[in-house]
Amino acid sequence: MFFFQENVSLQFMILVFVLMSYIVIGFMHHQEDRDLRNKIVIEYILISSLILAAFLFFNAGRI
Amino acid sequence: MRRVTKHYFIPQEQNNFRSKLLHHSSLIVLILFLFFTSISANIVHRQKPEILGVAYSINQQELLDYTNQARKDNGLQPLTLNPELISAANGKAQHMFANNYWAHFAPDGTSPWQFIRDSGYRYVFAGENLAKGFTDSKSVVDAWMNSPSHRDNLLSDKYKEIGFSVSEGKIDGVETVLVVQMFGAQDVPAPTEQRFAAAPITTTPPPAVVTVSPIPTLTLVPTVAVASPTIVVETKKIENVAQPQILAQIPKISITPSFLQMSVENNPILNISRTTRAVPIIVIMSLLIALTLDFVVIRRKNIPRLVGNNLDHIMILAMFLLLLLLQQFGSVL
Repeated sequence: MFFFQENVSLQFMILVFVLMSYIVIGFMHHQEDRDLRNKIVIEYILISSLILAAFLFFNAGRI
Repeated sequence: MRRVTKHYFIPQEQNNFRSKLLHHSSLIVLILFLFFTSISANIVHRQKPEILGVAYSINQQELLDYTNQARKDNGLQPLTLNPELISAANGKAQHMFANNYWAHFAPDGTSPWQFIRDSGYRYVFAGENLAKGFTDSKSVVDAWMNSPSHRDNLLSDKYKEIGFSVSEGKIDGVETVLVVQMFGAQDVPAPTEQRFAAAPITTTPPPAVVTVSPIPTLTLVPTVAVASPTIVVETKKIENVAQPQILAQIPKISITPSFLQMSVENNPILNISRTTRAVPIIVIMSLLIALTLDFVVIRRKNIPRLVGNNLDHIMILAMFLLLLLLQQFGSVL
């Protein structure tokens, strides 16, 4: 993402992809530990959403 | 205050052994705050840029001063402003906005030298540096100095004169401040009255073979004929050697000599770039602190909980924070 500083839309797409991978890897990780619960799923989604919202805030005025 | 901080950052009985900042309710509040504030900021920025906008102040005199200071620091002669080069830089900037491109060579093949020629400037050497998205003159010159090829242009002893254009417009749909810096050395001295400051012009012809520097520098092969006490320099211009036919077909671009775009300044009540940069960084850093404290305390007390893996969250948030800190809004070409 650092290399696409000029293109906010591309950065946004890359970030969405990274965050989706993060959620999936988190699920798999907890599935292996056999402690995957709704609460945990929501936590991963919330952290990802917060990062996305922070990115949009950071780029306010450029989008 | 101390109690509240502890409640939000340290896992304890009152917050059910999970830092309050990491509770779902707190995360939702933060998400909604960031999301709706960014939407509101975008709307206000578009409709009332004088209230919430990007604060910037770039002017030609400062650009010249910082450029000459850099040259002086490196033992070089200062450059003088030349009206034709200013006109050429303005022409280039307007052409970039009109044709929506960010490059030395336009998509239609127009070269930077075309603008210099059309301005009436008879060059022996010429060069061009571009910058966009910066908010002050010093950061523009600093960015050029930090880039080897731009630095070479800026510190070249071949150039005697300089022209700037600072203009606002849209490139790729994004509002930006564009700075064009054009360097030159003339084959004959321009009349003194056309200059802003008297500049000593050397009529010494350049060497027969000149090396080509990375991008914006022009190469010429001059032949010298001494007819009288005055040195007459004939130049055979070699520009864009790879595409001579295309250059020949380029239509003349009319450039109105103007010095209107000497500077741009915008002083909104709230500076959007400063605010939007600080808030997400503070939020992410607070979350990182809360997650780290939560991780350490729970580990030390060995309290079993059913929550996500703190280390996963710390890693992704730390990576994102690094990206925010490294993000730069200006670029040079």
